[in-house]
Amino acid sequence: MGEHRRTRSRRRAARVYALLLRLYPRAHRRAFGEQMLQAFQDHYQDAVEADGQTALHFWLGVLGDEGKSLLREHVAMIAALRERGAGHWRILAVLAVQVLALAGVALLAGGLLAVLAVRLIAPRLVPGLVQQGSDVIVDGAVTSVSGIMSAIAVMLLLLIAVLVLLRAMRRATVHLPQGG
Amino acid sequence: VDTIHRRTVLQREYQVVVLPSIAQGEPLIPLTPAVFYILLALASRERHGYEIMKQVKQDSGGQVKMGTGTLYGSLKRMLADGLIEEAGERPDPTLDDERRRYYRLTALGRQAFTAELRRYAQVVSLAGQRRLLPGASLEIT
Repeated sequence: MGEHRRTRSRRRAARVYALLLRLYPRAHRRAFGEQMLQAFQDHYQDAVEADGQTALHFWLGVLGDEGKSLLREHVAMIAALRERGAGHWRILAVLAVQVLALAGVALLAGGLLAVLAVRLIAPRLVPGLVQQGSDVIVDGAVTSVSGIMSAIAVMLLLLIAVLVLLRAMRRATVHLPQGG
Repeated sequence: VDTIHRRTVLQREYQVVVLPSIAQGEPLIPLTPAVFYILLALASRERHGYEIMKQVKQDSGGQVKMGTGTLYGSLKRMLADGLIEEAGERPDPTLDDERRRYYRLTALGRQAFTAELRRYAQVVSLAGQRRLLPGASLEIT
């Protein structure tokens, strides 16, 4: 891979990660966003450019970690809001934003999984597909399966997110001091 | 005699330092694997985020892989708990990106780390006494 192409890929990856960072609660992003971006770039350089890890494998790892971390930070934020005695509407608004954010991550993750599945599985299911140069069929399949898997991923993650957040809210309510 | 003495000291330390902290609901002990490995990485010198990530992976033999999200979430909680702090100056500003922040252990962080190591030593010693470590004659210093 040429230096120019490597630099372009690195910049593109950093832009995608910067978008992902926007899904974190504002306070967390302000405190650590820049450092996280810097660490991500170092990680990308080491894993993809130096160690030759595929971009897909790298991103799957990143999305898995960020998904867990995003959920944890948002749950912590809801708990903090409850402790500070924030009103129900405020918390509901925050919840709505969080669910949308999680849906965004689910779309990304679902899309990536779909691309991986089709690229790996489709040529095995239809022998000779790649040899015949039928890239159009593969691309069409990628698009269709991406859509379906993204939708499934979104629904599942939304369900998990709502359950986790409701549980966190209930727990935060239990821990509220008397009269607080 | 020396081994018995050492074991007695370890047991006394465990009873005096670790058990009360667990009994009092002390949130520091036992430490989560992520927190423990971060403290281990920072015990020798101050490091920036990505350095910590690499060191944790190396120290744990690849068992603990920490992504950027998990790392900074842990660092945030450890800063709040007073286990670590930001180092005022970078080790070598001329060789490094000025946006990087370095972290180091606080006195409390070192104390928690030492207490956790003692707890591990106690567990290993106990396992040795009960012959649960196959083929190992373990010496804890």
